[in-house]
Amino acid sequence: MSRFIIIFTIVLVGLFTLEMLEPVQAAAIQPFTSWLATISAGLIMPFDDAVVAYGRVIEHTVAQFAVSIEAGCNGVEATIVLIAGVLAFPATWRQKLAAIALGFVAVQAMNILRIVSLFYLGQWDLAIFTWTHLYIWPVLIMLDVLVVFMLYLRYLSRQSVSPATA
Amino acid sequence: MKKATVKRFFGFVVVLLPAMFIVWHALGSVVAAPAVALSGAILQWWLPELISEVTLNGTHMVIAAAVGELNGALLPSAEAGNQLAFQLDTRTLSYSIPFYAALHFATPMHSSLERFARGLLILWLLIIIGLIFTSLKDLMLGLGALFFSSSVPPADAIALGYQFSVLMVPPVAPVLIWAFEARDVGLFPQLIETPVKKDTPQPASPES
Repeated sequence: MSRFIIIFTIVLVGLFTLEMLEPVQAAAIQPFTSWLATISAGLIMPFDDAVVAYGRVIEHTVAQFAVSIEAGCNGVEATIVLIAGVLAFPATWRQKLAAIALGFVAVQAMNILRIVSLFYLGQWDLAIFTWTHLYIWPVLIMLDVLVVFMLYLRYLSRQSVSPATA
Repeated sequence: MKKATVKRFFGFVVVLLPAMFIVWHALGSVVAAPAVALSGAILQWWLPELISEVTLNGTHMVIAAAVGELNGALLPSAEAGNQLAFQLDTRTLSYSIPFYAALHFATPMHSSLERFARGLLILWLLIIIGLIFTSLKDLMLGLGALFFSSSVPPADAIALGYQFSVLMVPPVAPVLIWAFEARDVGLFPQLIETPVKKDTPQPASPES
């Protein structure tokens, strides 16, 4: 377990520091966050034509309410945690890359649900929006990461015994 | 004691999470008080020329600076006739506690309360570190050049420490502490035993 903890910590801190660098923010994180806002708005628009998206902002033109997706709200940190966990655990590179790709999709699906839910919670009650945004959703996103990681471990465990049972 | 399974575990977590958040919310300043008291003492000892008092207002940590503002200039509070204050929401760090409690109590384990107390202590230490970094960030942004005249870390180190303490530690630390405390429960034995790599030829098990 100590090997896992050491690799996990190094990858976690390393990727997080990399993410915070200004050139990385400008070249990758902010464009990705804008894309996430566009995707979220695109999912809402068929059901609510008063919604527009520009940059990292999603706005409801009737309710006069807008949310801006900032660092910590784009699922990148959760993905970094997943990557650190997957890389720290011994498996083939193919298994690791597949877990990271599928995990990324799972985290971002949950994150889009978070953005859409917060967008409407904010129009309803700002106090509940703040509470949910700051305390509840970070926990749910991390639980999502934990589910993906435990399913990955279970998959690896089954793979390791399958040659003998086949 | 029932055997832990992944499905049962997540089922319990989903049930316990709202209850733990309600308890955490109801406890209010009780959860924050130990961390604010210790981080306040550390900050006052470290930066006595910048900080005059640290108090707890509900769940908010209030840092009263030793300086005030007069006509755009920062002066000692006695000269300025006022005092700058910075307010921090301790809950942005302490929500790790109900999360950890839900993970912990969803897992059947021996000496459960003892392990929980140990985990809680670690979380409180991390909250103290988070409060210190958040305070340094607020003081850095609020006091500017005056802040850097004291013996403080470089701006980039404060920024990174603050971001890591706020974005990473509260959601990740409870999972890591719980995983460590529950290492003998059987939810993830692969983390303890060396797993079998798929690309390494393995002899067939006689039991299979």
